[in-house]
Amino acid sequence: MNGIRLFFKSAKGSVFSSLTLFVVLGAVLLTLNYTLSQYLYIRRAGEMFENAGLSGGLHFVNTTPYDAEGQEALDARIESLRESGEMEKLITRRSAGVTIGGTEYQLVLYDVDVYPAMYGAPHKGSWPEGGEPLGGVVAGVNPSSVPVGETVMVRSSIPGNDASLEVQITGTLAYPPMTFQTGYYISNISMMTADNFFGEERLLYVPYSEALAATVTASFNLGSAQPVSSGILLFTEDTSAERREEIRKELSVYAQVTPVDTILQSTRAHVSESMRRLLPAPLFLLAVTSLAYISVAVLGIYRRRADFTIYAMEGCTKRRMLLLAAAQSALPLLFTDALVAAALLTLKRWAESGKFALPGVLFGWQNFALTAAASVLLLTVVIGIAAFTTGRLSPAEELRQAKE
Amino acid sequence: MIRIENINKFYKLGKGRFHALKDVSLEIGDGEFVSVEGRSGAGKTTLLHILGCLDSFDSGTYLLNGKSVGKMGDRQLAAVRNREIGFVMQDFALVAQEDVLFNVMLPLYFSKTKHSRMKDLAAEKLERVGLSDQIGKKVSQLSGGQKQRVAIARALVAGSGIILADEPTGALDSGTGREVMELLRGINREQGTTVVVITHDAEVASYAGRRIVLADGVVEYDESA
Repeated sequence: MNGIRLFFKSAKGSVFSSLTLFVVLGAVLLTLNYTLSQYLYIRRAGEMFENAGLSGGLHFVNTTPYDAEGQEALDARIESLRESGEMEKLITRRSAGVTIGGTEYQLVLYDVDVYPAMYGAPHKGSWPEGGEPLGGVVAGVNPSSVPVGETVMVRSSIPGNDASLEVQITGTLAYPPMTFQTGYYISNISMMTADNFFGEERLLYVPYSEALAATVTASFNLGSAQPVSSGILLFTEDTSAERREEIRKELSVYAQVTPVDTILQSTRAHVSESMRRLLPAPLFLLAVTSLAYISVAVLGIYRRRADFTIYAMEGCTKRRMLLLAAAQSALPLLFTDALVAAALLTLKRWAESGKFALPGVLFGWQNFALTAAASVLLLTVVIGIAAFTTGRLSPAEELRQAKE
Repeated sequence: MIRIENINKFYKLGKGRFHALKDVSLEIGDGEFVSVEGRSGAGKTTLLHILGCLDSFDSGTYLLNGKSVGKMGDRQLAAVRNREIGFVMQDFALVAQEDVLFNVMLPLYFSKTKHSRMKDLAAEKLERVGLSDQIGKKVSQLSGGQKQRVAIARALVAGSGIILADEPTGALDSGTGREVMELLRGINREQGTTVVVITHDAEVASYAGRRIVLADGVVEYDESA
């Protein structure tokens, strides 16, 4: 206890004088974490594609949906693939605008094999198993405000349309939800990356069935069937690689087609390329700030060498002297880390609760690990310097050097 | 009781070495006031550092109050310096940016003394050296004589039975130097504290009851004055 009192009594001046440095260090660590969080988002998007078993599929988008002939030809081609048995399934958006308790949502029919695999377990509750009663998972809202377990009335958002459905809320996705959507296309293939297929809509996912799809079309969309202008086509296992390539070429006549594997490749390349592009600046800042921190630490220890010699004379052991010297520099660093960790935790909680979220970033344990790793490295250097400069010489040698 | 026998100390000097203390043997009893004199380079400060457990020796034995110092590790040596020895140095060896009270309390931070007692103990010693009214002042605001009194108070605060003083009046004018030496003599007489003073000043040496003269690392003269 006396040692702690001694530390705080004697180190306060040096701590306050380097306050600005620690503020800058904290800001640099946060910047580095922001870059990492962008990487985590892109990587998560790629993982969701792979988890969903979309690998091997073809993503298509009709970039001229108002061309009725073109859309009809695309519809016919897809239907022929279904009839020929070469297409296992089509992942596409079947939705309707609805309200729940006055708040607008999109009611989306999802594939029960693909979506739970893509998202994993919901933040709260579970994916509905189908059948009666109709279950749904809410996405894109503050999970704590979702009445998981309760039954809600889902009404059409079209004025004058009294279509409604009773849906039991079985679960809710975390926020930000990364809600899946098809239809993204860019001619630069390297930019066809998985993260562009996710958004943050307010959705109610209900499991697809032919009957429910018919109800949604007839009642909620007033009979207007949505054209399948985009989606992901999954082949049956029997379909050979050559045949898949033929189909890709055939579909390219009617739509922009990108193999999902190409999207995944672009994602991986984008991840490493974006890290190469984004990391140098914050790493450079961290290096510069670290050098400044180490310099301040070294100067601080050297400035107090005479004091440490006096401590040794009066009964301070070498071990305690090392702790005092290291703590002088280490404690403000640990305090900065604690503040950065608190900021990250707050951002993570806010993002999960829907209070505030930065688009295109995800916060995870990796952020804390990165902050801890950077600090451990700096601490190791500081403690090493403290060990080298204190207690290495006998108190008599220190006194002799001080006289010289 | 301080007893050293055949102490030798060498220092590295370029490729060779310098023999600073040569088979030095001494015995200093409890309550003695001893001066150690000699020219510059005689080995006085080296001897003081060894007696104060601030430096090691290359051969010989050192018994301090019956305990063999030569075999002690860092922790034990630190404990000896804390509880049994107080230092008064020529340049005062005080923490300049702290106040008087902190400096006097300093040895107690490394002891098991309860924090609530530390301030009282320090105040008691400051009163003994006549500096009760300077408790809150920064050391840098004190005169040389006052600083040396603070150093003496610090040397006494942990209950040390031995004070080792290295040229305690070296940075003081003669009048202030006499005051400091009177204080040390008073402490020696009233409390029975053993005082060992390193000096090249004959007047300072005259305060001691026993004079030892070192020359070229050997005891040239050891006799009660």
